[in-house]
Amino acid sequence: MMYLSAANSWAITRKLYVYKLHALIGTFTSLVFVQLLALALSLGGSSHSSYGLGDFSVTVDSYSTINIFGFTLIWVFFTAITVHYKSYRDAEYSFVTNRLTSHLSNVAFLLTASAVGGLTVPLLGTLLKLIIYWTTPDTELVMSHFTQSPIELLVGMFVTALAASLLSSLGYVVGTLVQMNKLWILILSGLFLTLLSREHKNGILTSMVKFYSGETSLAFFSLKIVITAVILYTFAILISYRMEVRR
Amino acid sequence: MNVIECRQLSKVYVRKQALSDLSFSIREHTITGLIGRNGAGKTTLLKLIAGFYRPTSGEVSVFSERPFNSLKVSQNMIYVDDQMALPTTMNLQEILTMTGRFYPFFDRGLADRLLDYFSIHVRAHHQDLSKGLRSTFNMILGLAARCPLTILDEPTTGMDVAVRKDFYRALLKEYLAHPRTIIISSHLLQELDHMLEDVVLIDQGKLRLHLPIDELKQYAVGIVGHPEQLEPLLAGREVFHQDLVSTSRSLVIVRNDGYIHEAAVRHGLEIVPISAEDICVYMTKQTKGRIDDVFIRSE
Repeated sequence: MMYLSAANSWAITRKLYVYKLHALIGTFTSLVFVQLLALALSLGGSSHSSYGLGDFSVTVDSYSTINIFGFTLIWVFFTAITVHYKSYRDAEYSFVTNRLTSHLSNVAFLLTASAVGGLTVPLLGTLLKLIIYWTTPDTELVMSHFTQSPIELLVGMFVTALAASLLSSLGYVVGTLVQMNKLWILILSGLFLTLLSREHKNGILTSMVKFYSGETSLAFFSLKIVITAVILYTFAILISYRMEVRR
Repeated sequence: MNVIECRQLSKVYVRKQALSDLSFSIREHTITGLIGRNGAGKTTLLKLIAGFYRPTSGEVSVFSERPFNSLKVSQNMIYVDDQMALPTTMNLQEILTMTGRFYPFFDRGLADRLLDYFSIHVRAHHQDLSKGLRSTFNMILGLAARCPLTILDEPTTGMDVAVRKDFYRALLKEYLAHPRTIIISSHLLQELDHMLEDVVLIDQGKLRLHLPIDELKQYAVGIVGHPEQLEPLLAGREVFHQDLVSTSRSLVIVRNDGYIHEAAVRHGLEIVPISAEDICVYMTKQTKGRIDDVFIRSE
């Protein structure tokens, strides 16, 4: 006599999450490459200016971690699209899943990826400073932002991780739409390019970014992002709930 | 107890009616052969049962539950075909470990012994295996998972004859030791008819037959004789196929109603047995004329 085993959504979601960490390990390798590239670009400095005053001349080089931050966000956005690739999503249907557990384990994986991105960006920022410190011995370093307290570092990690999870939820919606119909690639990229070309000082994209980046309270910043991400992830789950498994 | 029940089940794709109005049920602990020509709708039916597809109309229930999006069905069912998607980043050993985490009855020892027997290297990657070995590995997964419902969609694709024979034997042994409900689709009934209990025959999306294999083997007989002699015998009987064997002799495949033997003997006609596979072929004939007719013009 064979008995049916009871299915537990949380237990299956946990198993799928572990499976996805295995199967998508390559995305973390690509994060390393993306961040090293960004680090290399940052070493060139973000601005360079020279002033002459009689016999003296002053050269100011500014460095910024904005590249590393930006590249990491782009990485997490595309990772959120990658989890929809056929080779990853069909394999889980060879094991045990349904639409809900599949989505929940994807979200758990993407939040992990966002956390990894969040942790690494401020650390790479520190590495960037150390490299500049070692390689330019005769230079006066402006120390105002050079040293960071552990609290500042932690806040940096937290904020970056939140920003990454926002981008992951956006990428996830895009990936879900594209998985349902390839036409969305054209529609969404067309929409984005149109908005970008018409962008001005108070354009839609700028005000969308400002809605989050302009927030000075950490609590409100977190709240805004958590609410947005929850809405976007839920939207993705709802629109694909009746989708069939094509393999 | 019925494991699978279909009621007026239909599936329509954008341009094609794949299944129409299928009603049948499959009992617990049986091996059912799903037989049909290419494009008859076998895979569509199996994917509806597996919960991958949503019915257009009608109903399918598996373990008394609608399979689409059902975690319970997913956990108690494994669907094996030659296109089974498995993670490309893992080797076979890791895939087996992962499968064991998901399927509670999975027997790792059996999987390892079968891999060893078929000389499949555990460190190989699924996508690097040859077509036949890939099917063999998928079959090993399907057997070792010991799911209460095991769906095998054309499982022997690409396997050579020796492996196919071993596969059927392994399947039968597994089934006897650990009874479960198995559906195996194929267009080669001949190979499996010794192990099947029931046969579901579908043709152009419609159910033609659902019979125990022993009844199917008796379902029709062939009668050979002069066309004029045959004619009175055929009146009122269901004829599946008629063909000239020589200038004066015809072969007729006719439904076996229990009296046909006696009647044929009385008319002095010869009776030839028809295999279950041939019965299925004649019942699902959709070609026009004979293949020989295609070549007449060029001769």
